[in-house]
Amino acid sequence: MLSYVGARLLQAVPVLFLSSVVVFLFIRLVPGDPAVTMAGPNATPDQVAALRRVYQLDRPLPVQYLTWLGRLVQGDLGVSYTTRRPVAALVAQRLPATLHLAVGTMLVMLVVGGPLGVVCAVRPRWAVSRAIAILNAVALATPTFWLGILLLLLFAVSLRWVPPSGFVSITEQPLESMRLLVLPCLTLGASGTAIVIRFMRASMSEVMHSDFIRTAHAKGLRESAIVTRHVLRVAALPVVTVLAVQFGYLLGGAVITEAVFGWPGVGRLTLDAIGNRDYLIVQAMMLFFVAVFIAVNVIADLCYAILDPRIRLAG
Amino acid sequence: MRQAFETVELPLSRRRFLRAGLASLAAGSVWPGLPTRVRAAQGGALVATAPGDLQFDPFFAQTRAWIVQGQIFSALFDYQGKNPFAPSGQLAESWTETDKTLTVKLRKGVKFHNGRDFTSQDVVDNITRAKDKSIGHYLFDYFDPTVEGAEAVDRETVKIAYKQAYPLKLDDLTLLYIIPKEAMADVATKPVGTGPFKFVSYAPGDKLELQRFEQYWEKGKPRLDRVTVKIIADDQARIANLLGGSADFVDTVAPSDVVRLKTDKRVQVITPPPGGFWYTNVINTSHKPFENKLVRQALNWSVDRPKIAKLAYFNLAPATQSRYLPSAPWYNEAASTMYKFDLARAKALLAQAGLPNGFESSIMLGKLAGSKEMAQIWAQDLAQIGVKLSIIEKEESAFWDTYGKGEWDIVAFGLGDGRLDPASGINNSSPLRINNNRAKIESQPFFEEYKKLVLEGIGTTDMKARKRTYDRIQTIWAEESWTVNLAFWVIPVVISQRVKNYRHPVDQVPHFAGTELGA
Repeated sequence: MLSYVGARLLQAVPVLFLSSVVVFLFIRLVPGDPAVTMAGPNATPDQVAALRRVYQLDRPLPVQYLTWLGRLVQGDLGVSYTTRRPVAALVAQRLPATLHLAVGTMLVMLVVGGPLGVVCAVRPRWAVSRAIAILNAVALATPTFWLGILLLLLFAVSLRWVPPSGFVSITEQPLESMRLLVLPCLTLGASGTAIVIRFMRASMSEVMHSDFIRTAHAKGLRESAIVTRHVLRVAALPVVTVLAVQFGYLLGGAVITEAVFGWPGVGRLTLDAIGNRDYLIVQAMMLFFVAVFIAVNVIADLCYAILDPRIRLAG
Repeated sequence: MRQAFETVELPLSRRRFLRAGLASLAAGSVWPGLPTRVRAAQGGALVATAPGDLQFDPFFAQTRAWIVQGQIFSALFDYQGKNPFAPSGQLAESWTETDKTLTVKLRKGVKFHNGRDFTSQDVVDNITRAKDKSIGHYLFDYFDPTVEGAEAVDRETVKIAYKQAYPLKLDDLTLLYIIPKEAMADVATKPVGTGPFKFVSYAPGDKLELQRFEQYWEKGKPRLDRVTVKIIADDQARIANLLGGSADFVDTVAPSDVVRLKTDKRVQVITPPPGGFWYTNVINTSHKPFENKLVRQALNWSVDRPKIAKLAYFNLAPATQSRYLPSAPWYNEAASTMYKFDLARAKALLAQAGLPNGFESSIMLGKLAGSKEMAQIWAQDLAQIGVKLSIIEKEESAFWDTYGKGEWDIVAFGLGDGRLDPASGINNSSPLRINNNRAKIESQPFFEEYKKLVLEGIGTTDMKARKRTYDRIQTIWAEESWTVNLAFWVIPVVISQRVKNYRHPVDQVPHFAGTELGA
């Protein structure tokens, strides 16, 4: 397994390098100029030129790229154009908030989506299962910004059960942190939960019709034992893939949810950086996202091997 | 820390829950007025909001700095005096002015947040920084062309020498927020000033924490203990925070929301006096067919200003074709009433310009609220005279980039700097100024006269002569018609009912020094 992980990490190096080139070029192809944005609407060409010099944007692109890459391998991500703070510090400051949101949302998806998916698969004709299917469709069709604002108005503005916005680390104030997490996690988790329910239901339905389950029934095993010991373990594999992808997306930042709930995560950092053409932040964040997806996929592969012993990982 | 909160939770019944839920489902147009918690506060902390990350170096004039400038820093002058449009002394106690000099006696007992006394040398240091081109800040264009130099006459007196007679001495100094020299290098991350609140911490994307500066020069101020600025990107979420009692101050509110919030008893809408800003459409005179002034005039005749002021800008301020209100001393009535909404006249002018069947053009929009509605109304009217106007929307960075490159026909703008002096308005408006003019008027036949007049207006302090000059300039603006003014633009702020003694100044820089939190 270790050799497999090592091989996957080695494969990640060229991927990250290619990503760095693509990201570096793409953000510069987008119309807009950080110096113009910083200088403001009435800036004269002299002002803009001065800012270009200050931030070395007047240098040829290959020189800019190599300078950035050289610093990157030494762990220096540069300084943000807009906030004048080190990019590494900005990312490090935003990551905990994103982790809180990602883990909280995953919990919602697992705790709500998992059992409901099982219910729908085991008892497809129940009225509850039909109601879940309808709610599933509604959750998938509901735009995140609409749901976020609605939950905000209902639970924070009208009922005042939870604060409307803000972030506190769970290690500092656990209760307040959880109160603040409720609405963003529900907003983000709604569609994710629906996806988990669908995959869980479909996957379990397929497994429940397989030969080994029929054999288990013939042996006289109780249904609960069949479901928990045999069906769930096999049916969980595609769900793990879905969860891994969802977790990757969540670590990449949930831009709309972060905007609605004033959540200081990496999604907003990236979006603001794109808007301000803060190239160094955008480049750092894109590389981070690529690295996250690589890591999450490796972890998902490892989970496969644990869940299904028939799967062997080779380096 | 003086802070006293009293919170009363009311029991939540099923009926109340359902009522709140139904009301919330209808949200967007109607806000449920269900106060389930009554909060009273004295002293304590004011919570403001901002739509994006903040900048602390006041030499970079982005709107992102507005919310912090007036709290952390002070300038020699501000717009907090009795006349909202006239600079009044802030760190300046008294001053004497000649055509080419300004001698300022500084207020005594002013300290920086780092404990050092504020002296005349600090003004000199900041003017030196303002004249430093290498930093790339916007104040260079204000101070370098006008200020010859500054000297510290004594510890409390500074004398500023100007290159020529200059009427905007005090106005320009409202922009020069004083930073101690030893803090200049780190001002973007660790701001130090002489303002009523000192910097405590800033978590980008999250919040800024400011604390009362105990040694603030104005006795009895600030009244608040703390100011927090929460970063909330979504417009509706900022308003929800205000209505939910989690925020006290929201700016950059869209006109449509302002209209709705005016009737909400939980908040106050504070509107600065109109006149300092205005909506306009700028025409690129280097693009065909706009090099012909008859075509530009036709566009001015084709605008239904009252309709646009009502439907696009919600009548928050009056429609106008002039940059001035009739009550302003600079108002030129003939120039300000030159056009009416008359499509027949517009069509006749197009025919005279050789375009009887109209032409195709485009208008570029940024994120200015109401622009799209304005453009749609105008495009409908223009279609009646054969002009096909397409609407191009751009996100902010691309908008300014395209604008700077001149790759546009017409652009929708909010212009102005809050100040009334025409010299300031011209200097600070890229479509009106004479250097690097973005409407490309340099190749127009009127430009030499316009340039001469602009230089005359800014090169004298004789008010009668200046009035004559700016009368003529306004006539040129109207006749040459490269800007199509639409309506005055007021930028209200919305604050919670508990906020007392807040006045929003014309330059849009909030000052919380005298602000209190009531019950």
